[in-house]
Amino acid sequence: MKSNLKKMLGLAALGMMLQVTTVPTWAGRVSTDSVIIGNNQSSSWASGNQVDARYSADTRQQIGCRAYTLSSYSWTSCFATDSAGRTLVCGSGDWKFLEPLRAMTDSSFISFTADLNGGACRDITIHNYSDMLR
Amino acid sequence: MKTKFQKLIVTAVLSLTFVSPSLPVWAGSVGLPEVTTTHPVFGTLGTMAGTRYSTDSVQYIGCSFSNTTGPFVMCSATDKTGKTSFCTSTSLAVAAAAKAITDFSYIQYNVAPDGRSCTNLTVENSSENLR
Repeated sequence: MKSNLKKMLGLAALGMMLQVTTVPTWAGRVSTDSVIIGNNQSSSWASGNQVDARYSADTRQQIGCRAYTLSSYSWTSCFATDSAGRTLVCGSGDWKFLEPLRAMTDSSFISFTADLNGGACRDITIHNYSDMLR
Repeated sequence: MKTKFQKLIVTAVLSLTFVSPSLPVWAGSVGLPEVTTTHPVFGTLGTMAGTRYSTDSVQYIGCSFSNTTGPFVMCSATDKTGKTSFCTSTSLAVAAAAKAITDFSYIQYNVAPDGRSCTNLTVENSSENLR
């Protein structure tokens, strides 16, 4: 009986191994982008990939944008926090900044620039590339 | 009785182990072309998922969009041999297409003779292009 049991367990383990090895191995070009925040004399900027921020090893990173709209008013803001806890936010009531948000997907790489004085958005760019998919 | 019960359990586990790989049989029409940058008619084309999950680590395809001084789109791709193509556009129509790109889109564009302008951008979101 003991021998039979061992045999069966062995076969079960073999079955599991075969199951694991039949899982396809996906490759493809991959870019992993942590949230980065920087600045120069005239502006601050931030960039990062939403998926990489969400699944980063630390519990601080985040990046995203928010659109608040009424019939005659809109407020678009983007925000980012890097692994060190530094945060950058930009906001604008200009309708033109709503458009890039329409291009956002779960895997988008977001970059935005803010004025040093007041944090008004200067630029919001959404990048959707295959190598940013998880 | 106990022995029989043990045997039954082990056999059940064993059966599950062998049967489970055949359980999820996904079918449906699938079209996940990888990146081509030299198609005689369609120029550059590829799917986000087919490219991301290709076997090489070279190819990619996608587009960026901003609207700071009017719409601005930049699309670029590299095929598995390393051949790259890119184009830019300030057209409202191209911008509208770029905004439709999702994680599973089929993307196709042609580069104008000037070597940098997009003459068109096609984005297709279809069940075929899902991973």
